[in-house]
Amino acid sequence: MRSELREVWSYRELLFFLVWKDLKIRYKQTAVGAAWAVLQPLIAMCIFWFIFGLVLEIDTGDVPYPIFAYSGLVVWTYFSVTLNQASSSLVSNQGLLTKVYFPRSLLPLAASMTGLLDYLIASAMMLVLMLIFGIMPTPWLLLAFIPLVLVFLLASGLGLWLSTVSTKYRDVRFLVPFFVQLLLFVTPIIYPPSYLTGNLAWINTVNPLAAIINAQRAFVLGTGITDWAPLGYAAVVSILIFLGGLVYFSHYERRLADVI
Amino acid sequence: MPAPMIEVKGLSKSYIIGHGGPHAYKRLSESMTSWLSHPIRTARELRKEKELFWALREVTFQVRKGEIVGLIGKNGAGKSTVLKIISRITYPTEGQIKLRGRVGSLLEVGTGFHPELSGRENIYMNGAILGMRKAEIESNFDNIVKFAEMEKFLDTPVKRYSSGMYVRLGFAVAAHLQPEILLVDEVLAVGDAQFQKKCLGKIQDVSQSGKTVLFVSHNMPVVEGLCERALLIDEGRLKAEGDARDVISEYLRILSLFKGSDLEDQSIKRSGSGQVRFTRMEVLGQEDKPLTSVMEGVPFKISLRLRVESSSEVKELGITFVDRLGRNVLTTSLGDCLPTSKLDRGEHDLSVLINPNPFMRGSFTLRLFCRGPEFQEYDTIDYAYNINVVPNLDADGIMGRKKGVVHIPFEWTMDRAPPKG
Repeated sequence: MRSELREVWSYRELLFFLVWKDLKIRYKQTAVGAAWAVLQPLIAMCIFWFIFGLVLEIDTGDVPYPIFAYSGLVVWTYFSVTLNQASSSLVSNQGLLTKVYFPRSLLPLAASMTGLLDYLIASAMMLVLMLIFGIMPTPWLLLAFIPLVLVFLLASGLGLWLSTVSTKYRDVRFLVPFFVQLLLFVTPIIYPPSYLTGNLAWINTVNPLAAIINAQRAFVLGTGITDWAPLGYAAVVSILIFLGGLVYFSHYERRLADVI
Repeated sequence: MPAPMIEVKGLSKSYIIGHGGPHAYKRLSESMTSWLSHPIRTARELRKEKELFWALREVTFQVRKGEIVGLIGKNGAGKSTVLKIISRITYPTEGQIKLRGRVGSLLEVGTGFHPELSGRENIYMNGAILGMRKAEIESNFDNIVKFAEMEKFLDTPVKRYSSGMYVRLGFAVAAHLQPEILLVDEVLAVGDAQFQKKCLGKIQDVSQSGKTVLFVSHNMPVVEGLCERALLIDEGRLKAEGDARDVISEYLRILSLFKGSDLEDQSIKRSGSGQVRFTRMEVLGQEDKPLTSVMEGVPFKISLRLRVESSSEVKELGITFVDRLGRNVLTTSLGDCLPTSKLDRGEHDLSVLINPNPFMRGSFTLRLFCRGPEFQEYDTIDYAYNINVVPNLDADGIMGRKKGVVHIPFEWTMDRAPPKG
């Protein structure tokens, strides 16, 4: 794994170019371009606002529903786009894999890094929304990088695993969207964590994405957290998945060109 | 003597051939259900001796600094696999490789080009993929653009390029790679003649600057012109190594080894009553050695076997040579030498000596026909055989080429014209 990381480091310029290329072509031939980074979570927010905020009148405490949902959707959008892109990155770059050498993990890693820019743009929009709804950021905001790092590790770790699996089983391409959608509903993104009680409480405990999103919300909206255990658990799980992904990937990498 | 730049020892590569075995490419659900429904069988199948295909078998060679070495062989012989293993795209099953320098591999022109990106952007992208540093690309940028001859289209998306422009840009980037070891695979098969010449010149420059080049090609004149040494790979094994000219001759000899053709195969399309049938044909060289290809200017023999069901009178029996465009180039028939002949029931062997051999390099299809005295059709096979005529290196060098489909001995004379009265 160390040698894998060293290889990636020595090819960091190529990693940069791959990310740059993805960014360049991502919004080509779209009318509004990079505004999609904001529009995606914003539109999702409006849909859920209508269903859960206005129709079902979900109680989100002191936080207005749109702000509540948007703060979670920013993280989830990053996670969902990254997992989709990263898991298909090897298959969609077959032409490169069979013609030239570079550390193969660059492809899923580049896919995970591309989404970071969208994440930052969408987060800026978050601050604008907060001002509109009269919520002032607090020093807790400085900790918002923690959930960002964790969701990056979690998404790219899973991306490393799934991208290799999809070289052998193309089913992954069909399964990932369902998995991501399931996560949207079992994670307190569009409803507060307090809704998962009794028999369902364990979902909150087990799902690392729940702790990440709760922390993100607490840091950005300024409420802060007192119980660090869930975030600590999420950190351990994310780091393990990421490192495990790297180890598995470097193990599998040699056979890639023959399997794909 | 300094250590070789490329040292390949005992290189083997096997692939598992999957015909629906447990290793074959399949859906996740299929492999799960096969484990669930037949756990024992699946486990047994996994343990069973896998069917292996050896793409390479114990290949050993070395390339010294500053050499351009040609790697030749038939399609599927394993040449590209060698390059892919050396460039770490795929890994060997057995064997070792030692490389003493930075490797640049050029297995395809324009790897990683993205149609939506402009020429300028693709130069950076392609350069980075081929292993160039950003600083290197920047310092070579103007030379790349100049080499590709496309200053005007730098900011046009590549999807608007003609295929020629695309290839020029791709090669231009690759040509400015600065590896100590350059691996090239048949990229010269593209582009117009002038650009190909430019590319060849560039490869020659590269090796004169002390770089090492391993070069796969089917183009024998290019290999002979460019390489001092060559390696011949056949059926995954290294068959010959040494002076490029000798190795090329050996390659041409291998191309022509064949065991004759069975004409009783069901898949052969034929027409006629079958009263007299062709059952076998062979092309024979000197001392009746079987060949699949013949050399320009070297006589050869075609032998045929006939099966006669009931004794028949044969009026016309012969062979037509048809070229690639479907033109009948030449016909010879038994009637040229023998009058109508009566054949008894049983098998008969015939042969015809083609001397002098008039055919120029190229590929010819042989049509066999046999008819009776009333022109009733006994047997006709339109595609009985495909014969390759290859250039004769010893006679006029591989570069020498006379124009035309056929060539026969001529006698030219020249005298001073008598003075005008």
